[in-house]
Amino acid sequence: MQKAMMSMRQNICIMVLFLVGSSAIMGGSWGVGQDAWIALLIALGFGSIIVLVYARIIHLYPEMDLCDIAQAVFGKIIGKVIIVLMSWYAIHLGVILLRLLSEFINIVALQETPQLPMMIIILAVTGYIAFSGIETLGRLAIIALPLYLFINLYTMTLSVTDIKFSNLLPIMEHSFNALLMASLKIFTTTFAGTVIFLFFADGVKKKNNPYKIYLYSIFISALLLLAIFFLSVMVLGVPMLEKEYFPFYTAVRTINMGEFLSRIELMIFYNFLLGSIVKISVCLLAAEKGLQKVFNIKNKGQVLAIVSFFILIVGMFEFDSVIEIFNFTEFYQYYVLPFQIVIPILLWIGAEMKMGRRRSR
Amino acid sequence: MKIGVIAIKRLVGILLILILCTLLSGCWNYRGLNKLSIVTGVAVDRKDDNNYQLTMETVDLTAASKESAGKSQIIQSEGKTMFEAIRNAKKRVTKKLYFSDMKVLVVSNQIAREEGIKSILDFFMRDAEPRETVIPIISQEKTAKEIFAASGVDAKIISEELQKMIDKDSETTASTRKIANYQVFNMLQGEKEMSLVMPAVHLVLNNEKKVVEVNGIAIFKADKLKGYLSPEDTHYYLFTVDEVKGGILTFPSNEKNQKWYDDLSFEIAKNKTKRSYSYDGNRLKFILDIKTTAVLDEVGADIDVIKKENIEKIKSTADRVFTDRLESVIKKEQIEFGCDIFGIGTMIHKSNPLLWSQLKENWEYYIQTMEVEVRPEFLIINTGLEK
Repeated sequence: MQKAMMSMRQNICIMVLFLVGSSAIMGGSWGVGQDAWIALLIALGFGSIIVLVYARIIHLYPEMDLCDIAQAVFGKIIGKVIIVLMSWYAIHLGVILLRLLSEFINIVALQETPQLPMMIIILAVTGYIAFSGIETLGRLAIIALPLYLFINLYTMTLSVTDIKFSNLLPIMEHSFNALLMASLKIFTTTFAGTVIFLFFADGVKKKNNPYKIYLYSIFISALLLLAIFFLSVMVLGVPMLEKEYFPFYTAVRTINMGEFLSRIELMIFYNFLLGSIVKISVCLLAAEKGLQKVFNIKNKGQVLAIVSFFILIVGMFEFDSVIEIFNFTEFYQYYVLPFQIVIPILLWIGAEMKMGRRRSR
Repeated sequence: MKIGVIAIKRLVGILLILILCTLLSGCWNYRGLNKLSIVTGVAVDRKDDNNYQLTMETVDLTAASKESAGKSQIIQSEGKTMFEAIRNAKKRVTKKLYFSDMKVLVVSNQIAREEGIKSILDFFMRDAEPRETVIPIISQEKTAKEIFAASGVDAKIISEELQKMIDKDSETTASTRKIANYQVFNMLQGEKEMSLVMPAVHLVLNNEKKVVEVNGIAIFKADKLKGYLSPEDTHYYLFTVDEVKGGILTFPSNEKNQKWYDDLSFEIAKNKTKRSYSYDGNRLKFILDIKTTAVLDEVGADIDVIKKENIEKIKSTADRVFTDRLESVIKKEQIEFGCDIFGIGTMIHKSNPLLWSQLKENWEYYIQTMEVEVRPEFLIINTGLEK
């Protein structure tokens, strides 16, 4: 089987789309109101550090993905355990995203459509993308990301007449403690999620610099997230920002230019759909790669079908409603830390030690 | 692979595509336009002790032609809550009500005085169909539904006319203040620094027919209605919040000899109000620096306005009279309502959060004892075609 190689641009595009995908409609209710941009910057700081760890792992073992690296560093048995854990992380992320997407469609647009058929259709699309491989996803991302950015830019320019800079004041009204808690939330839900790309490290060509890929993606997506947040808070105001489930979506709903240019929020809806599909495809691909290696199944279609089915069932039953999804994020930010921080750091330390031993020989 | 297998695969593929296209293209939620009744405005009254009465103005698209935008129909219904009343309307209509085009929400002053508007507004914010840019209005008539029973001067759909009147108002007469649902929510929630104001409408006789007229603003304390400001007073109030983009100010030409038909009319071209405050430990002082660019468009008395000393006299009279009137409006509001409709609390909160947390418990006391300093400056750019 020919290995799928991706250009640097494809890598960056997929990663950026992954990072901002579900924020296309969110944009800011992390409990700190108008100071969330400070929390975002703090999270960006921590994110850059952890991302350096990820990039270092890739750098030490070029053109090998997480499964191979884990087995090379820790041996077959522990390596397989690590792969299973990380695949579970990818599956759970996929479940949450799928459920969030179908709930959003349900609340906003198709209120009477039951969620099961919606989820099946979404999984069919993402399953097909995953089946076509990471290379296809890369090519999709190169076209999809400019479109996503264009739609965002367009809606932001249109709402420029409604913004009130005074909504950002007073600055630093919230305690530093609250800001740190919020930045933890942002860190675990966005920046540290890039740990999943360790699964695709074998697509990074040896001559490409993994540090560049990770850092570029992080900074571009941080810029986007900041822009979305600033727009949401300046148009809506702080009480609305905290109360709405989907602040950016609501902010775009208030655009009414010249009395005929309204209902632009459908474009944001489309953005969210696009971003979520890319994100879910990435999760499916990661889980499929991991489980294929662990259970030694040759037919990747089989693995994908099983993983998709599993995600569907869990997605239907894990949450009762949107309320539970949003409450789950309180728990999720801690639950996900072992996958995002502990395992990669262990891998890194193990890799450094192995490399050191090899060099000294 | 053999050609037969490829052909079968292709055939199955095409068949699947056709089936999926036919199955997936209609959706569960399909609603044809002819089955929708587009609601443009809702009026809320209290029926008896337990029920709200909703009067909805809908647009009937089937009658739309090039001249008119369609006739409007009125649908009434009752229920214990907003949503229940809307659902109960389905017992009388065949079409489904569609709220995404709703423009105004008229609330009767009885409800606003007695229970407050927060519970009414919640449905229109929470449900995904009505938009956040709906304009809530208080009806000064006995009920809110009378507003929809009136005939509009321009358009046949009252809601649209109301929305357009309020929208364009700040540029023309500056006699009311436009506010959208989400801004109302912001003011009722959060720090509650500023008191809510909403546009007020009433019915007036125009050529033997009753028409709607925008009539100043309604002042709220928390979410209960307290009183109104007349359109003239609202014009001065808008100076304090820097939302004047037009309007007419009339001043006497001669303060001593005030014949009302000798008045001058200033048409405001531009206005900029700089608001600031000072706190001396005991009392607040609200300082307004108002720079108005005006056109002298009507001179009642026989004055030669091109002479420099005449213009200076007019300006100084205008300054004095304007200051007096503005201060009296603010004072009247302080004594009668004691609510912070000027946004001073917001100013303090945003620039000095510590001071705000100090003052906010006794905020009403500070508003009522507040001093005001007005520094107006009029600039007359032209006097029309005549000297």
